[in-house]
Amino acid sequence: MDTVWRALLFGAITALGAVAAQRGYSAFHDGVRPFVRDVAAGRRERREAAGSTWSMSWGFILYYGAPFSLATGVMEKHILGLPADWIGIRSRRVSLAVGCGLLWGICASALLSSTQWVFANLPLPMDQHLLDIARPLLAMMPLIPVVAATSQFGVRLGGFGVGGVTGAAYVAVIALGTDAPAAIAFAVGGIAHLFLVLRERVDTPPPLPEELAAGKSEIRRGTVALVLTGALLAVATSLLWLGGEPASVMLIGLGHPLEAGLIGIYSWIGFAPLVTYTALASRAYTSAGMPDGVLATGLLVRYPPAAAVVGALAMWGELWGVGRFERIISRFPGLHGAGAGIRDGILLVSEIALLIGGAISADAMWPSVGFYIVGGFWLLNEASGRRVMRVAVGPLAAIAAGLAHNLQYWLS
Amino acid sequence: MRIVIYGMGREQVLELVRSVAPAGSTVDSLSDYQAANEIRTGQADAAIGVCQSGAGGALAIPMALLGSASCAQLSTPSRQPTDDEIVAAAGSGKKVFGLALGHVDAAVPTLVRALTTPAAPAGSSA
Repeated sequence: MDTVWRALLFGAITALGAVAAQRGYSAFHDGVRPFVRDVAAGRRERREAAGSTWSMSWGFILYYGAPFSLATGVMEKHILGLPADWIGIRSRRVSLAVGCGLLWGICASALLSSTQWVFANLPLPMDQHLLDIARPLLAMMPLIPVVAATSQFGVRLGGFGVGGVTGAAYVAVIALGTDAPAAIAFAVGGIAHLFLVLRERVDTPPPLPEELAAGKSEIRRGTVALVLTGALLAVATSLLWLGGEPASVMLIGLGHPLEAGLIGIYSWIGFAPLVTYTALASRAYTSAGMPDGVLATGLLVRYPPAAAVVGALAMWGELWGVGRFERIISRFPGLHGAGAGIRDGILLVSEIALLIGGAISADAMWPSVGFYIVGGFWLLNEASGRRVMRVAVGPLAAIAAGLAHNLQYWLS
Repeated sequence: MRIVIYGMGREQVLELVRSVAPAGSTVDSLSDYQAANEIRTGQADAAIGVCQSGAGGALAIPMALLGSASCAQLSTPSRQPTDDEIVAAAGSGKKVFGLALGHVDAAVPTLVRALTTPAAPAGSSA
C-alpha cells in the first residue's frame, strides 16, 4: 500500500512542479529560472527552451540523482524536479503539464520500487550491502563545515580553527557516548563556521537595486502552488521517501534522517544568497524552496501531518520573506562567500566518503574484486576526462560490482 | 588585465589562472556577488565562476545582476567544452564564464590564454 501512496505523492509533487514551471512561477534548476518567465509569457519558444532545459538537466538526473536512489531506494529530488521543469516548459497547456508530471512521478516511483525489489531478490542480495556506502559519510560529515570554512577563509581559520573545534567536539561526544556524535560535531562545526561568516558586518548596506525590488511581489504569484509543494515535499521526507542531494539521500537510506536534516539546514544557509538574488532578478522562485530548507523540515519533524504544516509554512516564509533575507545578506556579505564554501564542503566530503563507502560495499559483496572494480572505475573516469561526476563513482561502481558478482555466480 | 574568480574550488582555479595569466595581470578570488559588481563597475575585465553544472551557481548571480548577454555558459554537467568553443566564447565580448567543477583543469588554461591574447588563432593552446 505504501508503494501506491508513494507513487501518488511523487506524481503530485512532479505535477505541481510542472504547473509552476508552465505558468512561469518557479523553476527547480538555477539555470532554468532566468528564462522560465520568458517562456510562460511567450517571449521565448517552448520547444527551444525545453531543449536547453534538457541539456543542462540530464547529466544531473543520471549522475547526481539516480546512483544514490538506486543504492538506497530513497528518491533524490532532482529525479522529480528536473523533469518537472522540462515538462512545464514544454507543455503549452496546464492540463498537459499536470498529466505528464503525474505520469513521470508515478513511473519514477515504480522504477525505483522495482529495482529495489530486484536488488533484494538476486541470488546474492545487494540491498543491505549498498547501504554500507553511506557509513563513511556518516562518520565524516563533521568535516563538511571544516572544508567549507577552509575553502572560504583558508587553512588557518578554517582548517585549524573550525577543524580544531569540530574535532575536539567530535572526540568529546564520542567519549561521552551520545547517540548522534556526528550530528553534534557537525552542528558545532557549522556554528563555528557561521561565527566566522557573521564577523564581517556592513553598517549601511547598499540599497536593493531598483530592477530587483519589483521581484519581491512578483514571486508571490506562485504562492498557492509552491506552498502546496512545500507541504508535500516535507511529508515525503518525513516518511523517508525523498532526500535533497546525494549526501542526504545516502544518510536517509542508512536510517539517519536527523543527520540528513542538519546537512539540509546548513545547505539552506549556503543557497539562500544565490536563490534570493536570482529569484528577485528572474521574478521566479525555486520549485523546491531554497535547497534544502523545506525538505529538511520533514526530516527533523518526522510526523507527516506536522511536517506538512511546517513544510508549507517554511515555503510561505521563504516566498514572503525574500525581501527581508536580501537585507540580512547585504548586511552580512560573508554569506555570499559562505554559499560557495558550503557547496564545496558538501560535495568534496561526499565525493571522498562515497568513494570509500563504495569500495567497502563492493568488497563486502565480492571480496578483493570489489576493490578492483571501484578503484578501476574511479581511475578510468579520471583518465578519460571525468565523464561521470566524481560523487557518483563509488555508488555506481558498487552497484556494478554487486551485479557482476551475481553474474559470475550464475555462470559458475 | 584583472580576472576575478568565484564559486566552487576557488583554490584550484586561482592556481590555474595564475599559472597561465601573463605578467602584470591580477587575479583575485571573490564571492559571486562581488565578482558581478566588479564586472559591472569595470574594476574587473573578466570573471570565471564554477559550480557543479556550470549553469546554476556559476552564472546565477551574474545573470541576475548583469543579464545573460554578459554571461557565457561553457559547460554542461555531462559535456566538457572544446578548445574552439572556449576561444569563441572568449572572443564574443562576454565577460563572465561559467564552468562545471569537473572541467576546470581542462578548460581554465585555454580560457585564460584566449582572454589574455585575443589575437591568438583558435585552438592553438592546449
